Formats: sequence, structure tokens, C-alpha cells
Amino acid sequence: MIHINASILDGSFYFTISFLMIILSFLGYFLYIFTENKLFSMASFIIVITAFALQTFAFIIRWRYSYHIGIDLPPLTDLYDSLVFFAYVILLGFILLKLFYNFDSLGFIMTFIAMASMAFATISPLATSAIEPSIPALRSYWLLYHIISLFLAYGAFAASFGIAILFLIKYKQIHNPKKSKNINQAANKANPLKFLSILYYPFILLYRQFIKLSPPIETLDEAIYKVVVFGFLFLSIGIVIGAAWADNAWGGYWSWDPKETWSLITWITYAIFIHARLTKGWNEKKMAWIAVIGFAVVIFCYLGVDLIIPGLHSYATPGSTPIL
Amino acid sequence: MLSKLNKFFSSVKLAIILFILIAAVSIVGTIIDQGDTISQYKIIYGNNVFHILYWLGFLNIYNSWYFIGLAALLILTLIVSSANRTPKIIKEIINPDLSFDTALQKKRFKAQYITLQSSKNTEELLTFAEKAFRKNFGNPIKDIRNKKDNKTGSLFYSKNSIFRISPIIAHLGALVVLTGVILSAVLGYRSYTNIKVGQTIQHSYLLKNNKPVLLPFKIKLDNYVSKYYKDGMPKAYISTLTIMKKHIGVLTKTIRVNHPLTYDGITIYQASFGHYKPTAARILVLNLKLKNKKNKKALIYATPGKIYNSKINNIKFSFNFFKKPKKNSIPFYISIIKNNKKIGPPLIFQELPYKTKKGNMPLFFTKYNNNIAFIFAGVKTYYYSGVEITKNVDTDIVWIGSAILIFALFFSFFFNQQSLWIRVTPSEPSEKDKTNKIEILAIPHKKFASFYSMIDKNADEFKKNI
Ligand code: HEM
Repeated sequence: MIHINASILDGSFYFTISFLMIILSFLGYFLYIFTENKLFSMASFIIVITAFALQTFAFIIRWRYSYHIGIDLPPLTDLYDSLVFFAYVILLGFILLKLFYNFDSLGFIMTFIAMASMAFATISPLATSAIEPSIPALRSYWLLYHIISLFLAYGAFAASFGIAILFLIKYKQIHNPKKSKNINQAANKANPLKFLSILYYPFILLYRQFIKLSPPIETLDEAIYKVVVFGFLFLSIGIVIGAAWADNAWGGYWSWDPKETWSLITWITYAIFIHARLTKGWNEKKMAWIAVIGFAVVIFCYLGVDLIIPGLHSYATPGSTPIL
Repeated sequence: MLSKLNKFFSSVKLAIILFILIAAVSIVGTIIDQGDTISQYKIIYGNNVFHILYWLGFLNIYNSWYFIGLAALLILTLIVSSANRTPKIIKEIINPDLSFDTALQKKRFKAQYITLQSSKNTEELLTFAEKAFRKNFGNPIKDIRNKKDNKTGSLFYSKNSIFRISPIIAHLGALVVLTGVILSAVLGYRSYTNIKVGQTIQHSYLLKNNKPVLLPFKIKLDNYVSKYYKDGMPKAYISTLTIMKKHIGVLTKTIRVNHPLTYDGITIYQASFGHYKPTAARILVLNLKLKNKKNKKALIYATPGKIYNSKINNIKFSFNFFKKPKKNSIPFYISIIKNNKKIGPPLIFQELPYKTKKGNMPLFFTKYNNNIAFIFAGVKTYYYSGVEITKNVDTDIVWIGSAILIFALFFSFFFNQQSLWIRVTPSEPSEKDKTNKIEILAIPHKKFASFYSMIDKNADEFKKNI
């Protein structure tokens, strides 16, 4: 049965409201993309900032509540909290990027990712908003710093993914004008009466509008690099904190647990990104592709490992027996 | 030959290939459970597949020769490429090649090259240029003006050139981390063992291959408790351990998760807990005839089927399970034994309206001839505490390397070298209108759009003045 997570007491009600706001801002960006009316994007951005502020408030409520019920740690350990936190850093990342680069078209992708994460948190039966005491191994302040750095990294990688998508769309148009012309023609020819064209017409339109509304390709390239290296820095910090914690808690800084291994794989993916720039023949397009693939690796490391391979760090099995 | 090898091992392409291979091998290790026992693998994969996986080294992949080999190759490329590039980069930092023409040729693909014409004189032009670029580049580090004829002149700016060593330091940090990892893998070990309450152990089993290691002291588990939250979630596992040397306890301490105990370079961590399958029932034997309280009762841990002496009228008994217990009835019984023969029907238990103090378990009662009563008071469980025993090697070197790496990453990413040349040359005397040619050459270390637009902006400002 689907159960909506919403309780005023533990703060999840406010998260649910912020979820609705994110949906609204996504719709606003959607309208902006098609109408090119700046009013929509401005309104959406204001909603995003409000949702972010509301989530900040909700986190404070939730933290205080968790102290109140005798759990002396911020609630960040279960699937619900982590998904909500993921959406939170994505909004933060988008707000910062918007201030630096003024990407409106990026809003569409970023609010979509935040929306997906919030939807999973709010509706999925796997994610419950009830604050449950965590297993003994997690009762440590290392946890807080470990999770915050990793989520800053995840948020940055999500942003680089969004920008890389814009980059690749734009790149295709510049380097393959014939093909994109065909797509334009196809869009013009598309007969709304035909069932198939109804299906793909919006995507073609979206594609065209993305090309039109995105910043120049060089700016996108620079933004991908800067966002990725920000993420890489925090990923490195998060992994090192995790290792130091593991060393402190159970005597080995590395035990090849699946989550650990996947975080290393993520790290390697972005190390390849950083070095790809230095190799002849690996142009910006390859780097954008690595940013896209890298985000898939991040998502697998974050959720896939828990849902598929259980281990030390499992989010997906609340209250599971401690396997240390 | 040597230089070819040198080139091969310092190529970034090779490094990328090694990165990809290491990632691929690591993925295999997350798909196939590592470190299970052989019998578990045989159950999961079947005999044949097990042998193939074993032969491929997939069951202990992070210790396989090829994984270690790939890591070694990566370390080699790191060393070779750093050794190759470091002297060159340091030389360039200390003694940069300031020549406009070589820079223009070498870095063409990154450079922003602007030429302008002006009739103003060289001195004036360079002053304007200084003004226009000061905000972003500061003062020129080299300023050549031919004051006498005031004809040619050039400015050279370099920003953040010192930070070109940050990637070198980042690689050094990575090397330090890897060195620490190798040292701890070679010199230390990680092992685990389970200790029953009351038991003393001196062996532990390596995590990677279950081989026993002899510890330099014995460990006795004095006590073990689990604490729970109200809803039954575990809150803490606490073991009280005594370190024994030559049968003398030298240290007693409680450990719990995140709070280990270190003795003699060896650290003991609380990892898990459990209990063995109960093998004995706790039977309280009461002498109903005796008024004197002292010898009235005895507690006997009875293993099913075995014969025990009740010490009352020489009566022996055994505790047994019914082979086919009836539904909703108590499945065990007592047999009374005299002269090695079972006598009478089995003594059936009845539930008492009391519970045990400790576990709040029901008590069961039965008696024989109004002489002896037997009370079943639960089962005897042996708790064990799962501990991880680690020979400590200084992991500090890993943390120092990580700190170096992270600091250097920060500077590599956010402090980039930028160079700028401005050169003014008078046009050929043959040309009629006497103008000066101004060349602006800007070279970033990284091709960032913002760099080029910044140069354009400064150049526009400059143009306004000339
Ligand atoms: C093992 C971990 C490694 C880490 C953490 C690492 C890190 C870095 C970083 C942060 C940079 C600077 C990139 C930038 O500023 O955009 C860099 C550049 C570089 N790396 Fe690595 N690297 C590693 C391995 C390697 C290996 C094995 C090679 C072998 C060839 C290599 C070759 C290079 C080269 C040639 C550069 C260019 C330096 C420059 O821009 O001046 N790296 N690396």
C-alpha cells in the first residue's frame, strides 16, 4: 500500500509541501522551455528558493525531534532522510549555479532530478519518514561529516550531469547541423494526428528549445569541469572521512564492502574525467559523456548498491540485523 | 628503448586504461561475494562454476595477482610520469620562458591572440595596457621598454604560476596514500573470532582467507550484554574482555562498537554477537522432602538424552524430547532411571503461573513420587561476542597522504596559471602611415570560456583608450 510520508511532528509534512513546490517549479520550467517567457523561469526560481528554505526549516524540526525522542544524532541515515537530503543538495547546487551562470534551461533538469528523489522519498514504501534509532555502528559524529561531504559531491555530480546533457544536445547541433536540421524538419512535418508523432513530437520540441535556450557550448564545457571538480573534491573528502571512521570503529580503513568499492569506482570515473582533458583526442564531448556516465555510476553507488547488493551501508533495509 | 618505456609509462592514456581496468575488476568483486567459505560458494554456484570462479581468482579478487598487478602498474605510471614532468615544471616556474614567439607557436590551440593597430607611441600604449589588465593580472613581471627610441616594448604577466606544482603534489599525495596502503597490507592483518562468554582464546582468523593467526596474548570474554531500544532495535553491544598473559589478567576493559581496546599494538573491536544453538536445558531439581534449605535444590544443565544424578535417593534422570509431540502440548519430558533402567511413564511437564526472572520465560514443572520436583527453567544459551582483531600498523601515513592529496586537489582545481603577453612593434618603415602594431597573447592553463571573455573584456577596455 502506498503511504504518503507526512507528519508535522517529525518534519516530513514540510518536506511533502516542499515536494509539491518542486513539482510546481518543474512545471514552471517546463512552461518556460516552451514559451520562452522569462516570467515562468523567474517564478520557478523563486519557488525553488522557497522550497529550499522550507526544507532547511524541516531539517531543523526533524533534527530537534530526533534529539527529543532520544536519538542524539541528526537523522540522515535511512533511505527517506537520504533521499530528501539528496533533493536538498540538488536544489542548493542549482541555486548556486543559477547565481553564477544564469542557466534557466538547467532548471528543468535539476528540478526534475530533485522531484524524482522527493517522489521516491514521499511515496515509496521502502522509505519511511519515521525516525528510527540507528544501529550502534552508525551512532557517531563521523557519520554527519561523511554523509554531508558525499551528498555535496552527489549534488555536484547531478548538476554536472544536467549540464552535460545540455552540452551534448548543443554539441550535436553544432557538429552535426544536417542531422539536427532533419530533426527540425521532422518536427515541422510531424502530424499531430499520427499516434507515433504525438509521442515524439514533444521531445523534438524540447530538444529544439534546449538548443535555443542553453548558453554557449564553451560556457557549458567550463561549467561541467568546475562542477565536477567540486564534486570530486568532496567525494575524496567523504571517502577519506569514511575510511578514517571505519578505521576508528572497526579496525580497517577499507574492507571492500560493495558500497566502498562503488565509491572507489565513482572516484575512478571522475579521475578519468579529470585526466581526459589532458589526452589528445579526448575532446570536450568525451568529457561530457564521462559526466553523464559518472552520474549513472553515482546513482548506482548511492541507491543501486543498497537495493541490489546488501552490505554495511544498506539504506534499503531499515532495522536489518547489523552486519558489520 | 629506455626512453620508449619511459614515454609509455608516463602517458596519461595508459593511466586512463589502468583506471578503467581497475574499476572493471572492482565491479566483478562487488557482484560476486568476497570472502565466503568454500562450502557456501559451492551451494551458491554449484561445484563446476565454483571451480571456474576459484581458478579465475574471482572469489578473492582484491588479493588476486592481476588486481595487485594493475595497482602496481598504476603506481609505476604515477612515479614515472611525475619523475618526468616535475623537473620541467619546476624549471618553468622558476625560470619561465618569456619569449613571445615561442609561446605563440607552442600553445596556439589554447591561446587567445589579438592584434590591434594604433598611431599612439609605444610608451603610451603600454601604459594603457597596464591599466586595462591590472585588475585581472596585477603588475607585469617583466617590462621591456626601449626608452630611447620608444619604439618596441613588451609586457609579460604571469598569474598563479606557482600553482603549477599542485598537480605534482596531488600525485605525490596519491603515492603516499598508496605507500601507506601497501605498508599496512604487508605488515598488519585483520582477523576475526567469536568468543563464548567465559571462554579464553588465543587464535583469530584472517578476514581475507580464514587462516588462523596466533595472538601474542590470550583473550577472555568475561561478560557480554546487548542493550536494546524500546522497539527492540539494538542500541549497543558491550563485551567485557580480559587480556591474559601467562594466565594472569593484565587488563580488563569493556568494548563496544566505535570504542575498541588496544593492547600491545593489537586492537580489538566489537563487531557482532550471537549465540550458539542451545544444547542444554536448565533443570532445577528440588528435594521436596528436605526441610533444611541448604541442599534443597540443584541446578543441572541437562543435554537431551544424557543421564544425570539428582543426588536425591540415588535417583537418576534424563531430559528428553518427544519424537512426535502432540499439538499444543509441551514437547519435552523427564525419564526417571534406576539401575540403568527407565522406570515408569515419562513425567509430563505443566506450565507454572510464574516466569523466570531473567528472560521472563515460562516455567514448567513436573514431579516424581512427591520426592523430587523438576523445574524446566529455559535453555542454556552460550552467547558469543564477535570481535575483530587487528594488528595495528601506523595508518597515519594514509591520512597524511590523503590530506596532501585533498589540499593539492583544491589548488589544482581552483588556482590556474594564466600568462599574458603584450607586445608593441612599430610598423615597417616602408609603410606610409606610421602606426604601431599591438599584439595581445593570453594563454590559460585550462581552456575556460570565462578566461577568454575576461581577456576580451580587458582588451575592449584597452581599445577604448587607443
Ligand atoms: C592515482 C591517482 C591520481 C590522482 C588523484 C591524480 C590527480 C590529478 C590532478 C588533480 C590533476 C590536475 C588536473 C587539473 O588541474 O585539471 C592531474 C593532472 C595530471 N595527471 Fe594525474 N592523478 C592520478 C594519477 C595519474 C597517473 C597514474 C598519471 C600517469 C600518467 C597521471 C598523469 C597526470 C598528468 C600528466 C597531469 C597533467 C598535469 C598538469 O596539468 O600539469 N595522473 N592529476
